[in-house]
Order: sequence, then C-alpha cells, then structure tokens
Amino acid sequence: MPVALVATSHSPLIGLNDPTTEIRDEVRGVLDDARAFVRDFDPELVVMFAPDHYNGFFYDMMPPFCIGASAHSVGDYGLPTGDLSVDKAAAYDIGASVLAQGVDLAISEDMQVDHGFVQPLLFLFDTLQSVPIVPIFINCVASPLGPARRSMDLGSAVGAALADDDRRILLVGSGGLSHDPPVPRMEDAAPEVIERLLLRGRNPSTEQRATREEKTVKAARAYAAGEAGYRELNPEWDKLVLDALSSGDFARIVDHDNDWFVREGGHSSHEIRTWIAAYAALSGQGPYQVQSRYYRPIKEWFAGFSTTIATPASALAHARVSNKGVVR
Amino acid sequence: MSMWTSFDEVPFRVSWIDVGEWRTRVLDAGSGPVLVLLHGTGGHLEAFTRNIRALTERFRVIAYDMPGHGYTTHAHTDIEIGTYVDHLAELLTTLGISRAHLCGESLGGWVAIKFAEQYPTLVDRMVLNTPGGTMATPEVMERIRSLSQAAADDPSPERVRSRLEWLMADNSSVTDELVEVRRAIYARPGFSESMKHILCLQNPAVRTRNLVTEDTLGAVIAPTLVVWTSDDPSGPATAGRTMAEQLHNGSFALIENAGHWPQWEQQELYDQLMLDFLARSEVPTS
Repeated sequence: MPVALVATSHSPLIGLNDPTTEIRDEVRGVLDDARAFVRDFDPELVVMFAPDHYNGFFYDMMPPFCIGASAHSVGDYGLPTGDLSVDKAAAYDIGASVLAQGVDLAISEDMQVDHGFVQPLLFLFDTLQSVPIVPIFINCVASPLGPARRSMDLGSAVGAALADDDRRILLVGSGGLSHDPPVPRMEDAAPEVIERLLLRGRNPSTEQRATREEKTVKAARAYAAGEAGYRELNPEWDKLVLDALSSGDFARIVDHDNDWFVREGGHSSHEIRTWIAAYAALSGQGPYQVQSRYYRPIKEWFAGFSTTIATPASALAHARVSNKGVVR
Repeated sequence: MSMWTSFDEVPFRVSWIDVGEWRTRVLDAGSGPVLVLLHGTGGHLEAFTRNIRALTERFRVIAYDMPGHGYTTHAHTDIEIGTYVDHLAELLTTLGISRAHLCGESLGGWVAIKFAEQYPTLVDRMVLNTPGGTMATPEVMERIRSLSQAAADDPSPERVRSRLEWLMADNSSVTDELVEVRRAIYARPGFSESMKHILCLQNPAVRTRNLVTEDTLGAVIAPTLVVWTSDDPSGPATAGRTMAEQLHNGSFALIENAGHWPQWEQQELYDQLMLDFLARSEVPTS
C-alpha cells in the first residue's frame, strides 16, 4: 500500500489561549505544510490513532483499544459536531484482522470522539467528512493502562491488516508529548466528580461543557503565567521520544513502565501511545524517513507541541516487504 | 568454570518445542524484553552459554538450535535461509512472543538480517556478530565446508577441535568441554547427513540466491549494531563497516583479540557492548 504518516500534537486550547502571534503563526505554518503534504499525497483512507478525554469513553466501559465503525464528533471546545466519514467495511476488516493477529480491541458502532480525533482531522482536511476514515481509540488516560509496548503491537497489527490494501493510506497519530494538564483521576477524584465526569459524563449539557472547558482555559492561563502546582514540560524527554520514533527504535521507549512516562512526561504523555501505534503501523512497510519534524514546548497550550511527517524510505523497500505481516 | 556453571545462579529451562517439522531445542532464561540468540553454521546454543549470566540481567534470553543443528531435528533436505527465517517466525509465534531483539552470530546474523527484512515489526534491535551472507569468498566457503563436514563425518576430538579452532583468534580458547559438547552433537546418528544439508549455503550457486545485498540491508528498519573482530576468519572488518553504512540505522563496533566468536573469547567486552546497545533506553535527567 502507498502509505504516509502524520503525527501531531493536539490542544483544545488552540484559539482559546494562544501563545504569541509569532509562535501561533509558526505552528500555523507547520500545520499548513502538513496539510499541503496530505493534499499532495491525496489519501483514499485515513487510519487515525487518537485518545479521548472523557468525552466519548468513560469508566462505564473503558476499553484499552476501540475501533470505530461509525463515529460522531461531540463538538468539544467549539469544534464542529457531526458524523465522521467512517469507512465501515475497512473498520470491520481491520478489526477482524487485528483480533486474528492476537491483539484484542473493541468495536463501536456509535463511537463518540472529541478534539483528539477532530483537531488533526481539521488540521489536515476541510471538514469532518472530507475523507474516509477509520478511527482507532487508544485509552491514554483512564488507569489502569496496559504497557506502552501493547500500543506498538496494535499498530503493527493494523499495519499488517492494511498491507494488502491498494489504496493510498494516511496513518495519523494524535497526542501530546510531555504534558500534564489537570485531568481528574479515578484514584483520587471526589466521588461526585467520578460519578459526573469519569463514569457518566457522556452528553453533558451545554452549560456543563462550558463550565468544564472554562476550567481548562483558566488552568492553562495559570500554567503559562508560571503558577505553581503544575508539572513542567520536558523538552529533553520529548526529544528522546521523537528521536526513537524517527529512527524506528521503539524499544527505547516502549520497554519502560508506565510510571516512567508519568515521571518524565506527565500523566498525559501516555498519549504518545497514538504515535507509537501509527509509527509501528508504518514500520511494517519497512524503513521510513521522517520528512519534517517540528517541536516547541508551548505552555499556553499545555503541551510539548510537535508535528512530524514520515514516508517509507523507498518505494523499492516497500515492494520487497512481505505481505505476511505480523506473525503470532 | 564450565559452560553451564557459568550461569548457575540464573533460573533457566531447556526444552524441546515443536515448530512445524522441527523439534527445536530451546534455552529460555531470565525475564524482561526478549532477546533471541542465533548461532552459526554447524553451531548450537552452547555458543552463548558464557553470555547468559550478563544478558539475563536485562533480558529474557532465548537461545535455540536452528533447523538441522544441535539437538534440533536433523535436516533431510538442503536448508536455505528462508527455512531458518520461517522457523524463527514460527518459534516466536509458538512462544507467544510478538517482538524481540535478535543477536545472530555468523549464519545466525545472516538469518537475523533476512528475518528483519521480512518481518520488520517483529524485531526491536539487532546485533550482528561477524554475520555471514554478504560475502562469497571461495576459500572461506571451502574451508568452512571441509572442516565442518570432516568433523561431522569423523566426530573425533581432533576433527571437532580443528573446526572450533577456526572460530578463535587464540586456539587455547577452545576448551575440552566445548570440544566434547560439539563432538557429542556431531556424533549423533544422522548428523553427518544433516551437516551436508546445512552446508548447501557454502555452494556458490545456492549461496548467491541467498545473499544479503545492499537492498536487503536497506530494507531493514531495526536499529542494528554490527560487531566485527580483529581476527575474523570470514572476512575483513571493512565488510562489517560497509554493512553498518548500508543499514538504515546501523552502527559498528570492533572487538580486538577475537575471531569469529567474540562472545566467547572476549565475553565481558562483548556482553557490555550488547547491553549498552540493546538496553539503551536512557532516561534523561529532568
């Protein structure tokens, strides 16, 4: 399959709590370049790995991985609501193949997605419906989490599932590098927060959503202003992660336990699992080259913000790789 | 210290695992990320016994006798690289291992490269220890073939010792125990025929279609360390350097005072190289 990859951070604070115009423009330029790259590549299918932030997935039934056969944007942070153009047949085919390869994942016919999916989609395309997509959710926030290595296994299996697909496929990973915005946790949240947000937070009222989002914006302002009580971004760790993924050296990150990610990159650094999965899917096609790599720690957005583009190192290498894919 | 007492504090298991038609002898020791060790032509898993202790400090180490080798089922037809590659894939499947570091010595390195080309998502990182497959030097091929077949046809301590001495920079590295371990394997009924089939890769025509080309190396994504030695009998260190350059993500290390078995002759140095490269997952200070 002709394949390419875009992995990018997202932040609900884009547009709501922006850094200086200079930095904002710099990021806009990077995302415009990614959009131009995608336009030239002209994907016929997008396979996107992304997390959720208690907008679509809750503790009433929290799967480690879930593939959407149908998906709807909840419209958080002012993003558009509506259906994504999910390729249902591809979702079922990929799901079946991944299961057959020994990686368990859930399937949803009614997946609700938030800015984790929607932002990258709109960074790269005009509308929610511009391109056929298979959304794959990776739980990056609701403990307990499996080992990071498992996300690589998921990505490898998805890559193998796609190996015989002749379409031009764009793999997308969506998530932050180091970042630790305030997110309530099952372990220590107040019972009413657990009940209202973590367990039964689906379809909040407009007011509830607004209140919640205001809190995030307020927290980001405080963070950017240097208020205490927040964890610093970790550019050094972010560099290590980007270097490892750029060179296909997954072991450098995935052999660490989950505490390492929290210690080095903050709780939400687990979102890098989406990148690991996307890069692992790409690596099934052989060596790849990172074409562009942008990084800047942006406190206003609560994120070590990065966007990378990667393509197979050569068409020749691609042709030689066996279609047998992952063996288990 | 004997081969087996060199890691007598490490819990391990040696078992025979059915992998297709191959009843495969497998040593499984330690815990952690999986590291698979692949021996060379005519070899057996004891090639790595000196390294088990250090490597199991960080890894679950799997060493096994490849098809036609050691105590694994004898070969009754010629074995080319594809057979070894498929066997390894199936062995990993059988063991429930989804991804592993590979370390291959000589033929084992050749198999590792081809495996990494065919199954890119199954390989974490690779160490290629004076790997075979890039060169077809008639004298070297003939020497391996004649020494190996002679030892298999007449498994006397002398013949086996001659074959083992070919591996070493210093002949005194060949211990009586190593001779006896290999002699016992080579003396098994039917092994002589198995050796003929193993050695098909020393036949120029067969070798040519199995060679590791620049394209093969370019198709490997796994970060790879190529280890060469000062006294390697199979080829010059420049061959290893070239390999490292042709790999997408290759690096190179030279070990002095060792031949084809640096893991045996320069065990400490070799183990340290392996650990530095494979266990490289450094935590930045924050």
